[in-house]
Amino acid sequence: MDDPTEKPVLRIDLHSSTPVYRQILDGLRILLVSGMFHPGDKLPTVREMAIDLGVNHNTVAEAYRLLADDGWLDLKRHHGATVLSRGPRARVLSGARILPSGSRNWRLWQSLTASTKRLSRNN
Amino acid sequence: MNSIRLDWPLIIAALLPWASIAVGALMIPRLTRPDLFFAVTVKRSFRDSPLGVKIRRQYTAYIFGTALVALLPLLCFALPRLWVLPGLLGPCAIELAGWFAAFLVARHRTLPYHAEPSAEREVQLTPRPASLPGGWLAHLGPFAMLVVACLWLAVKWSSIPSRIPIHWGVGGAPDGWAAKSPAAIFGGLGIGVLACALLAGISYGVVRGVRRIHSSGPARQGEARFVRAILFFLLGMEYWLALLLALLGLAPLRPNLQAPLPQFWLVLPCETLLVGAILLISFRMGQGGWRAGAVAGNDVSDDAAPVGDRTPDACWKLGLIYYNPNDPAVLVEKRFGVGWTFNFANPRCWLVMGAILLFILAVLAIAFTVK
Repeated sequence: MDDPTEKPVLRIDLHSSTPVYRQILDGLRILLVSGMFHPGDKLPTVREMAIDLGVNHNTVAEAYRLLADDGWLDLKRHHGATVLSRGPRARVLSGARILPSGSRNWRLWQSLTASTKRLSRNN
Repeated sequence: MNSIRLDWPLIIAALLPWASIAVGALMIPRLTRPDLFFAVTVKRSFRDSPLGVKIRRQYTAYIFGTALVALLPLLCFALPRLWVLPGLLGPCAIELAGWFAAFLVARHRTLPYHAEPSAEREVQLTPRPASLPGGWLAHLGPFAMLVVACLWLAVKWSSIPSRIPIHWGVGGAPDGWAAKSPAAIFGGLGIGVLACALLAGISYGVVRGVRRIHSSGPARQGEARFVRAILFFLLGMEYWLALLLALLGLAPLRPNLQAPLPQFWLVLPCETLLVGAILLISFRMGQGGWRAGAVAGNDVSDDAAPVGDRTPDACWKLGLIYYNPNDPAVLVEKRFGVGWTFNFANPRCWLVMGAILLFILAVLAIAFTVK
């Protein structure tokens, strides 16, 4: 994003061989790991995201549920999803668990991991 | 020597809808998103290609012809006051039928040049606003006006005569009367409350339920401005309806019930302003605010895969009715026109239509009770 005031955007490709819920999950996880969101930030509700992406509610709900199981999100009925606080080490481990090696997202995760490790050593 | 007396209110009431439909029909192809041409997804360059221009010119010719034919009942029946109501409604019906036919022909000619839309989807990761622009206080205003009028009428109940006017002609003179009863006195105000509630519900549905097609950049800004403008227009309509019905509702308290309502002269100018406002929003912003986004610097390449409105072409029946059980949206952008239409495959849409039907039945019930 060139404009620092613009909000993060998630993109998916309906023609991709990767399931849509997986694309949503990976895309959100990358943004969460990279610190684009702060604890307490609200994400769109399942319904809002499903409408904007034009996909089934259950697809978005599955991605949100997996992130909630990982401790990234707090899900409350009719209140959407709230970002939870997680430490740098937990973010790195979380990123390693889900990204297929060789993918564009994997390479991005690798560079983020390296940056996180450098920050940890400096601190 | 006899002089011809022109009935200006009737002339304006006759010509305003005729002109609005004709102008709207002519402008809509230019207002729709650049990668949607007569409800078909096309490359952005198709609209201004020689074939696209030819299709649009043929459509324009059909619209002009229909508008001229539609003038006949107006000139022959309405203006000479031979047969006013058919003379006023006939032109609108003729124009709408002609417009539909012209659209179908143009769409049929465009279909062979359909382009596959982009499979990429994007979403801005911020929740939508939970409230309407202006806040809940601004939206209480119309209801407050109607409630105050109701309360005043209740307080002054004994001052209301036994027969009251319930309908007024174009010039503001009363032409329909009823016996004093709660339905006759409060019926119009009740209709006003229902109508304002319906408009407020539509506004809320627009805020929470329409698809955000672009998620960043000038296109997103244009969409946000468009939605905001429509919401303020709907709020304006609520205030206008509430004001009009409150003034009409208080008419039985006037000392001379036979005299024309002086504030009736406000009706046509205010309706003209409302029509003008929606035309201005449409022309300045285009469908979904794409024109506002283009002005702000939307630099999408003509050769890029079209985005359209992110709905599949196959789910649009005759280009006007959207039916997609796999789409969670209740409201989707119109493919030909400005604004939104229902996804008729979504059960919630039928709930909304049920509410609209109940409103119409309530109005008819009140009208029959009063008569």
